[in-house]
Amino acid sequence: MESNKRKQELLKEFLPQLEKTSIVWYAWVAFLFAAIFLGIYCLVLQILKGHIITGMRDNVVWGVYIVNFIFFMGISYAGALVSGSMHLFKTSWRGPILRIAELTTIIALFIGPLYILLCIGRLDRLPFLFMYPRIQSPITWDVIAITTDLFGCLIYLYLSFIRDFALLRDSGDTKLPKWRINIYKVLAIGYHDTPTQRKRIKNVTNIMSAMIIAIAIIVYSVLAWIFSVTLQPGWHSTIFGPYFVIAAVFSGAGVIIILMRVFRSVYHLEKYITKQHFVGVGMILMILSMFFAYFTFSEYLTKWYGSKKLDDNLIQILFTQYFWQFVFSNYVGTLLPIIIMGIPRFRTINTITFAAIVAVLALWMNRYLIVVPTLETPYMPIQDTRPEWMLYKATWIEWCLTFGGVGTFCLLFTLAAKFVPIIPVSEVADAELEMSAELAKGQDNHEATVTNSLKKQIVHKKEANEL
Amino acid sequence: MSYKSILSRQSLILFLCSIMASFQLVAQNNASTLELKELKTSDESRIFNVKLTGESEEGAMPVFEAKIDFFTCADGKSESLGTATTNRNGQATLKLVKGTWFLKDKEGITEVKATFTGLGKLSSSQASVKFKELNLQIALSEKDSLNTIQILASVIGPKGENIPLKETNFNLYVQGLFTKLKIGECFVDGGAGTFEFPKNIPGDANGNLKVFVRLEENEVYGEVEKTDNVKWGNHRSGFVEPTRSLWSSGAPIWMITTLIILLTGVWSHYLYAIIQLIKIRKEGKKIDKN
Repeated sequence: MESNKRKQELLKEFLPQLEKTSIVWYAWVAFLFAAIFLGIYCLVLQILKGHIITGMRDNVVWGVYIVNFIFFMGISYAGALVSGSMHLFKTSWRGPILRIAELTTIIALFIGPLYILLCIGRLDRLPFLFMYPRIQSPITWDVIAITTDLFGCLIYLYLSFIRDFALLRDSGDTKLPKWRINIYKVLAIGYHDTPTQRKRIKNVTNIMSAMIIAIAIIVYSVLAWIFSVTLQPGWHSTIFGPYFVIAAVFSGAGVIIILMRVFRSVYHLEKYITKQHFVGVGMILMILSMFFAYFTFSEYLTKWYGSKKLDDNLIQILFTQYFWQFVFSNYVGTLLPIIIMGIPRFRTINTITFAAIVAVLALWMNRYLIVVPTLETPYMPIQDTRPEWMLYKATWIEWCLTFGGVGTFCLLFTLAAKFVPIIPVSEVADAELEMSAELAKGQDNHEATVTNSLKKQIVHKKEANEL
Repeated sequence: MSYKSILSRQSLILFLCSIMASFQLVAQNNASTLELKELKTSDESRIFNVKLTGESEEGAMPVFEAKIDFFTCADGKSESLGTATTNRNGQATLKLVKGTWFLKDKEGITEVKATFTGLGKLSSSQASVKFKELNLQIALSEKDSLNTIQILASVIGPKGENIPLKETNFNLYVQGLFTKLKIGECFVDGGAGTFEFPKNIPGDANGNLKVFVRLEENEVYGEVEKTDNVKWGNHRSGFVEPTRSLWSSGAPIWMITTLIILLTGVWSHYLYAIIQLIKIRKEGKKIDKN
């Protein structure tokens, strides 16, 4: 009863975010739609004129599209790993962050694979991938893995939403339109927070949180294997699987911090998303940046020491042609989070957000440096050595489609935050009750210990007197 | 000293150097070398291959689009056989069909000369080969599960009679994917020799083999070749097609097993989650009814 009361209180606090829509909100959505429509226009141009209007050519067949694919898939898996781990290990401050992480997972997972479609010259042949799959092909592994991950994340996301859907259905005096209440009613699937239903939800959520951690690791490793099973210089590496996973969680943690900062300001969630949350996720960011730096160093050190001709060429290109990008990606991007989080007086919400922005941009650049310079250093000799054929430079079409994807990500997040509270009300209320119960239990235990010791002292005194 | 004056001085030195270099090139004549090879093929036509190279500062380089004239010569007489032009590798080929008439000396020896008259700074050069007519026949047969190749070789005597070839070694080959594979040698004496064909040669998908019998680099007869096709390859026993590998149509068993285990593990949990959701829904319906 106490729990339900607290949930209703919290819901009333968050309902205005779902009910009211400001002009700024409409302007923001219009801006995002404009970015998306520009992307669609570029896509139509690309389909009509072919890939010749992109920077991709015979040698560099992958460009920013594949970089965006890896980037979005990375932040998706990071969302899954962060939310799954926090739920599974019952992190005390998880409540306000969980929904942001879960939404990041599912939205990025919808957008990422779209970039693969943009890379395909003959979209009409796409069904062949499903009609004649070759199990030996890493592309087939990726299709199976992404599909499996998408289903798993959808189930996990839905499980985390059911209790809030039920709350919104039963909220009574709200200004929400009837059609929305009906949608909540359907989506709540008759959840009434009975002990049996609560137990079922808890069990399944625990299982699914463990599952999505495992799936996220496997799926992102599969994505890494697409590169590492080839013999290309810079790609053929045994540590690419864990390296990609670490890079994914690193960038994903950065995106979650940025989103926390945005929603904290826009929805005035200062009471719920506190500095403690920023420092918590910031610490994760710092640890991951250390791991990322370690993997990067290990990767390039072994290649440099091995001195294979093509590896040497690649490292030469990275330290000359891509010098500043390499420094930003692998030095600035990793050192800044360590410095900001490592020195306590630097740890403010704004500096942590700044470190997260830099880390996210650096990780995007890192993926670019993995994909493009390798393709500019092919095994087979390049026959036509015109620079525009050998080297890659993204065109405005590719940039517009990139921003279109970012716009879609922001739009879906904005719409999702308008449909359900961005703070998981039930989760936060339950976490508060659990914490107070634990505190009470701790107090009882303390009192019991004191009483027992007093009793023992009395017994000892009695025995001493008798003697 | 100003930057411009340094530049102008450097360009003047470069200009003078280039003039001196061009004078040196005009003054020198580059030598050319011609190599000539001859082959009598299975259809009894004659093929003459030449390779023309010219000396340059970078060493011997092939000379292309150069005209090579071929002549048949004997007893001081000479008659044209034809002309061929070199390709990018400096090679040219002249093929003369069966029955082409060659000048012969009293011993029945023919000399063929290839000449290059020179081109620009390249000097002229010539090469020649001598050969005597040889009749070569082969017969492939199977006897008592043995595959044999019989070689019959003879030369034409001064009165036009056939004289059996004496004490000569022939090489035997089969055609491989890219080059010829040597399978042995056969000693011919008294105009005949027999070679037992090995049984471990795979051949193509149907077991077909192309057999070559060749007399090579012989001082008297030059190069003579005879070929024949025969189905003596043991393709099936020698080659096992992989059924399940990275490149075959069927995936390796371990890969399929791993995939099935992983997918079963993951999707069974999804199924469990969906069943639990259905149970929640059923309970909810009961509560709603009550």
